[in-house]
Amino acid sequence: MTTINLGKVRITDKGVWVPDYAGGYGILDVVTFGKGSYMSKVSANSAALTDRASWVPFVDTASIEEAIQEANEAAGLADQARLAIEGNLAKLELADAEQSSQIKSIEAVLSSANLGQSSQLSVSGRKTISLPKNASNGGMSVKLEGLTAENLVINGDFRNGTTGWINSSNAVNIRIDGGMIAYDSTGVWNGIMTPISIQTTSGDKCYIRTSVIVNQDVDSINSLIGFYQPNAVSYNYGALVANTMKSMSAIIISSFTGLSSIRLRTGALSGAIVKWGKTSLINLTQIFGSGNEPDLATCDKVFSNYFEGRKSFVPTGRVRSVGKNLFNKNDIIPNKVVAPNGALNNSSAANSSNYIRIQGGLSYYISGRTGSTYIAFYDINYIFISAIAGTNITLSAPSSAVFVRFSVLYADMDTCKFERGAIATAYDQYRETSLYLTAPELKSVPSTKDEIRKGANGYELVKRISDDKQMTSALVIGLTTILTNVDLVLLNIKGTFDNVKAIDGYLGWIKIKGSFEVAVANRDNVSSVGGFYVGSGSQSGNVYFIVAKNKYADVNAAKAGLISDYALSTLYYEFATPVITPISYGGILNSAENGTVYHEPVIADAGVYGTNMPILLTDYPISALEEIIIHKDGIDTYLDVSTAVIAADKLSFTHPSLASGDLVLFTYAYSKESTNGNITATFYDSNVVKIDTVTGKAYKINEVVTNGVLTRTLTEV
Amino acid sequence: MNEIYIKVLAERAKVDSTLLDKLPEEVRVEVEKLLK
Repeated sequence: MTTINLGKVRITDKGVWVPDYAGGYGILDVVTFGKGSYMSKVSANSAALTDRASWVPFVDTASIEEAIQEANEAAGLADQARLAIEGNLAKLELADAEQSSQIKSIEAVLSSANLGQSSQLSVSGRKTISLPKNASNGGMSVKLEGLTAENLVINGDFRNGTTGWINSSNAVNIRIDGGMIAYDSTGVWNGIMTPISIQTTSGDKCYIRTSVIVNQDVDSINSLIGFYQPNAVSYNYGALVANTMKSMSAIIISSFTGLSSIRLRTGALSGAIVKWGKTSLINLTQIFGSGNEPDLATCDKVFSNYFEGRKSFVPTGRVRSVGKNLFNKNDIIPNKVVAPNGALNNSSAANSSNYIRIQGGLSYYISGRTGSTYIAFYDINYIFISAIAGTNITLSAPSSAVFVRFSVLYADMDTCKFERGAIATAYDQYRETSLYLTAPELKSVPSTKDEIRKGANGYELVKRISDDKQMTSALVIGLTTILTNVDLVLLNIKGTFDNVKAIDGYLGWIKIKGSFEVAVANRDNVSSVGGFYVGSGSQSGNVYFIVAKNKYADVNAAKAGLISDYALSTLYYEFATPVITPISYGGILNSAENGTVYHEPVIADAGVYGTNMPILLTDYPISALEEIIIHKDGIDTYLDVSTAVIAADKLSFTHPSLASGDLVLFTYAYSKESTNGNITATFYDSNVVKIDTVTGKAYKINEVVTNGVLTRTLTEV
Repeated sequence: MNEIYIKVLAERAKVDSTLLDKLPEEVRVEVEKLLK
């Protein structure tokens, strides 16, 4: 290696750079400027400091350290500011949540406030309740009561085709047509029947319901439905008009103890095509107890929804209270007009209302319209019933009507009013409040029923009836053979299950699926085999199951065979002590003068969208989406529901406007078979509207003071 | 936001531990308050 000594190289500090340095800077001259230092690369350097061909910038660590310190200080201040802002935001959020909570508390207080010290009133009904004209505009609560019933007609809606339905006379080519069971008549006295498998006791009151349509006029001579074999008990539903659906229902009384069949019959001539709709038979005596059976009008409301087998009241859903104007101008089908057949046609002048829930059999008044269009009524399944043309008229809703729909000209949207009653009152905008409930099904036995009520801490479930309990051989604890015609198997109910109501001779406290309760006096009848009666004395709270004479040699044989021999599966019973638990609910209800309250199977749900939006309550699959909202930056944006796609399993949906991470609020309808339990609305009496104790008309009291004299006048409302 | 939606989200949060982190702050605060 060769080393060359280059000698000392000395740089010259020239101080702060100036642009007009005399003769320019020389090579290795160093200058400072701002926070930088620069060394000249050339002689006679008069170039700008940014000229890298002439100047080499030095790293000035002191300046950098100073800059870093300043930056850190600035960052520190910024961070302090950030932390302060975050803290304030958190406080704001907490304050917002706190205010939101307080607002809800205030709402709850106002909802139950009785500022006028008014008395409370209650009205009850099924599905839809009409509030009186003297209902105050204030808080309201509801109570929902359980109802368990069994449709004794198996495959009454033909979900399994024609299974279980056979010719009773002159019916051939039995088939399913448009959801109905159809056949060709080969002569009058034609009909179809079920197997002889429907258990009743002579004297039982039973509710039967169906519908029929024939392609010819039919006289009433053979228009019969009811029990057929072995003892016929029929209801005559009258004459039929060709191609016109006739719905019918009746209460018939069984004249036979044991198994019977049901027959549906017409007098249609040979060659006619007969079609029957969904068919139900409910044993009212078994459900409500002897002497407590409801009347036909009540049954029509209680059992308006078809159900297969045994069902109870499903309370999960929405209770909605609507003011006296039932027309919601914001819930319409744009640019449509109602046709005479109830369908919607395109329009360039009007919008159609959506389906509006009404109460069949009542009068309604439509007003505030300037154009005559059809007002159409529909049943519980949105099937068209009838239509009436008119502008501002009184309408009588058909008894089976559940929905109405009508058109409103664009210019009349702010004046149209649809209200209950035969007179038009002053315009009032549509108002609604809603209460969402989530709770298990509400059961009943003849002696009592479950209920949802508003307690001191909100809505609660008062469970008075057990869940379904599995029956096993361990229930069998005795065999009695002292009777003449039957033997008795003693079932240990109170010793097996908890909280059993054990009262001596107490009737109607237990239901055994596939069995029936008989009076003690009838226990020794062969027709009572398969039934049971409740114990008394030391066996109160237990049950004697009635079996065929000599069916079992001893108690062990009964233990081994009873469950399978009599196809026993589950039972449920009345609790000795009700079990009260809070339920999930949200929202408040307000009553309104001449308002309407109804329960509908609509659920509110919310979640964060991923690849789809799954529902929370998977026991309630989606039948239709009602509303979809994106909640973003505190703003709710409503999406077009029609572009959503419901998954095949009905447990989720997708929407083209939703992306992963979106917070989605939505409401949807579900379809689940249910009875219609009783609903009671409790509200305050109005201080300004009073009901005439003789005529029943409602009057508003107007008080005027003139020169110290009080004058009261009445205005009918 | 209607309280029914807060209650629904709280129910979902009980079975989905990641849900709270996905919610906007003002909603998360209300859901957490309900859960407590």
